[in-house]
Amino acid sequence: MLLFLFKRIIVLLLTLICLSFTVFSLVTIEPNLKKLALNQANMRMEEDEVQSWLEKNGYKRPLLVQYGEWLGNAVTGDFGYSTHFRKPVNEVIWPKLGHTGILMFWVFLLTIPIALTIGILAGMREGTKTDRTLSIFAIFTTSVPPYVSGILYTIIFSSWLGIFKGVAKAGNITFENFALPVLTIVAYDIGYIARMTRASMVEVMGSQYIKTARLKGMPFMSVVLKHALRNALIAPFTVIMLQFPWLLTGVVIVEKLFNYKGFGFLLVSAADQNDIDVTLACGVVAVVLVLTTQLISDIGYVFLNPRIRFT
Amino acid sequence: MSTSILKIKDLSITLPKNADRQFAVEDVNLEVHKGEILCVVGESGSGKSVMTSAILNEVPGSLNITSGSIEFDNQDILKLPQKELNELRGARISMIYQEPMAALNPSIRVGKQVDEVFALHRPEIKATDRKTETLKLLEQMKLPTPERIYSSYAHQVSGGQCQRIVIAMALACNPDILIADEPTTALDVTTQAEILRLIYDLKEIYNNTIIFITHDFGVVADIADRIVVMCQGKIIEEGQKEEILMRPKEPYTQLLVDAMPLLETTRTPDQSRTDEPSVEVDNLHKIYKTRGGQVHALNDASFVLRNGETLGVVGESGSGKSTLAKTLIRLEEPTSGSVNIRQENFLALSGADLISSRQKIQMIFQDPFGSLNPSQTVGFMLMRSLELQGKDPVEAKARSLKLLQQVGLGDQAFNRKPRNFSGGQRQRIGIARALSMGPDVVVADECVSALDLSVQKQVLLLLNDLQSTYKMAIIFITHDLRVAAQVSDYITVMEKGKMVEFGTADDVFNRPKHDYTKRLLDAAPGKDWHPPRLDPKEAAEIAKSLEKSFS
Repeated sequence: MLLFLFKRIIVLLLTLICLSFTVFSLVTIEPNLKKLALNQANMRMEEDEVQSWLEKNGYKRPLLVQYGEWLGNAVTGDFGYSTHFRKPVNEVIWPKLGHTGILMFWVFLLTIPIALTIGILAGMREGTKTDRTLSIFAIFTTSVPPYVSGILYTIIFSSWLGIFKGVAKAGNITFENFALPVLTIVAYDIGYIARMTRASMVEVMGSQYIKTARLKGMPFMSVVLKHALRNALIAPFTVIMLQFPWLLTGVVIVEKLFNYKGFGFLLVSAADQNDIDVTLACGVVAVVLVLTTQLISDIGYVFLNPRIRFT
Repeated sequence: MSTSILKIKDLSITLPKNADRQFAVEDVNLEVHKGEILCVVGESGSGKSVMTSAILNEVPGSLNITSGSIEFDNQDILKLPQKELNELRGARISMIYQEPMAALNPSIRVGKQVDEVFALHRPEIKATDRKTETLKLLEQMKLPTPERIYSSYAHQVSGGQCQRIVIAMALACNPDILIADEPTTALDVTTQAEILRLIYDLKEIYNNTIIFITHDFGVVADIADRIVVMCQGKIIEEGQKEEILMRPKEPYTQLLVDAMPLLETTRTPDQSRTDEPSVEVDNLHKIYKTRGGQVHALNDASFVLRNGETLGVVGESGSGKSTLAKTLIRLEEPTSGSVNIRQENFLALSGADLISSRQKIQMIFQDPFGSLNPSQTVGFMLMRSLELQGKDPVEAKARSLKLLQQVGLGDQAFNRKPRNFSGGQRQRIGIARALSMGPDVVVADECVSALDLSVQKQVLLLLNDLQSTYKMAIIFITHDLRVAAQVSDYITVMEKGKMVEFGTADDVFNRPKHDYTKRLLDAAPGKDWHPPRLDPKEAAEIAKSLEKSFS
């Protein structure tokens, strides 16, 4: 177990270095830097002034040296300076990540129990009316992309019924202004996870050991809870863990739509404004999140499925 | 006279609309006597499993019980409310299954699964005492180290041990009736013998009634009191064991019994031959590297086989017989050793030479469903392999049609796809495909084990005929000693990767030297039964008239 963790963390670090280097070399190519120089100092700079600006800011040194410097700083927790917000990256990124974190927290709190319940109820008796109704509901919610459903909900609940607000102010959330962005993501996500859970449940319910349990004289609900559930959750568990990184980047649209200034919003504006250090930091955060959720998913897998062992 | 414990009356179960017949079970009437072992035999699709699962009112979702009743203890099981049905299941009527590994929940410790039966049906046993009861039961099932087994998961114990655990679960409440659905089919022959012994011994103690479903007449001969023969959803014949096995009345039963291969050898090879061998295998090894060690899957395999001869390779699962097949045809590269085919070093070949020499050694696979590409027509498959040998399309087509004729399929098979054929027909196509390459050596890996008895007999006869025409050497891998006895000139017995015995079929069967061979022969089901033979002409006539009545 410890060896497994150790190996995985080494892999995580290596991936981190490779990916950050790739992003780094892409954002620091010459034309991009020139654009940055023009943006930062003076739009009417001459070519030689641009060159000297680049020289002054250290962008003329070899790529590896520059990357080494960035890496050295990043390791000590210093992710550089945001050229757009004109303050250190650390002061920009963590609060935004916090905002998205709150959004994700509510999304997961609602999605997981609802989706699993729908999936299990639908899958435990395949082909019944309950199954069909729930499956149609699930297919419907996943088929509508958030940028459509978001607008739809805004029109219905905000413009028409006036129950909720169409704009969510980060850092000052209330039920009123926060309900719509959460609803938009939850509705989309529920369908997806519910369908996975249903498929997995159907497969498990058809297996021989479920028949064994039933013919032991066990009541149907006990069979579902004691024998089917744990085996049926193995596949959705992986999917749920994959939702974390997806949400982090997937929320971009929803955050933009409801003007909620979180991580997705920051990522888009950083790329937009050519904010090199912020873009890099966002990349690092995303990679760390992807790899740690995968790690958690692998460990969880072992606990759910006794046939898998750490190697 | 014996009293009846269970009465099935006018039971009919319908199949879904698009099935090949209307009823899975049609108008079945059956009386089960207290304390007997009743064997229900039939080929695949005969409805034997569906009928018996109806006894617990649990038929697959797509089937419907349309009429009939099942009387047990003065009640109709089919009309019991769910709660009372649950009280019956597992307590008074319980069941064991074909795939013991699949019958156990993979993520719950097996001991806990046995505990559950006590929790459900024996409330008088306190929760804290359940484990003790379970351990007692596991010990009675002759499981070694019950304590360790109790806390194992299904994947950590062997197939035979899994079956013992499932039996423990079924017998936990000492049921009146035990239904066993092919409980030993997935097991090795020695394990099968042990499990049958266990079921028999436990019955002697508890005096349960056993309904035993099987396709294997050997097993029937060993354990049955009474036999019911099913075909196409109907009960065709019913009677005491002696009657059915020795003097079957119905033509269908006569054919089934006739198709049972004898445990007697039929061939005697000419041991003085010195002509060029078709295949010479010397000192062949295959070692698989695994985590923390290595597995010697094939250890020093050596033999010589000449044209027209068949070597039967027998052994249990994991004995290395399939590894032998795979390394011979170089699906897997052997670790060391040599294989000469027609005096050419087959293992030294590579590239184009290897491809052209592969024609000399061909394989017939076990699974007639998985081994044919479902999207190609039979004609395309055969033509392709002939064209690869450089034949022009006209010649290739003529040859393909002839091959189809020879394997007993007509010209109309040429343009059809594998899904249009039954298992036996597909195996014939597989044989035609192998022969289309004009091989010197054919490796047949369990090529009849997925087939029903009557079909198996036809395929074996076909192989025999084709061998006398084409004179190929056949390496025939099988777990079934009876089949090996029918087809082999020489037999080798494999155990743990080694050929522990090698000799003429006659020597191996009648004068076995190695202990393991003796144990295998001893474990063969139905060895004391000498099934009556029909005159081949008569058998063919019965088969023809039956075919008419079925279609």
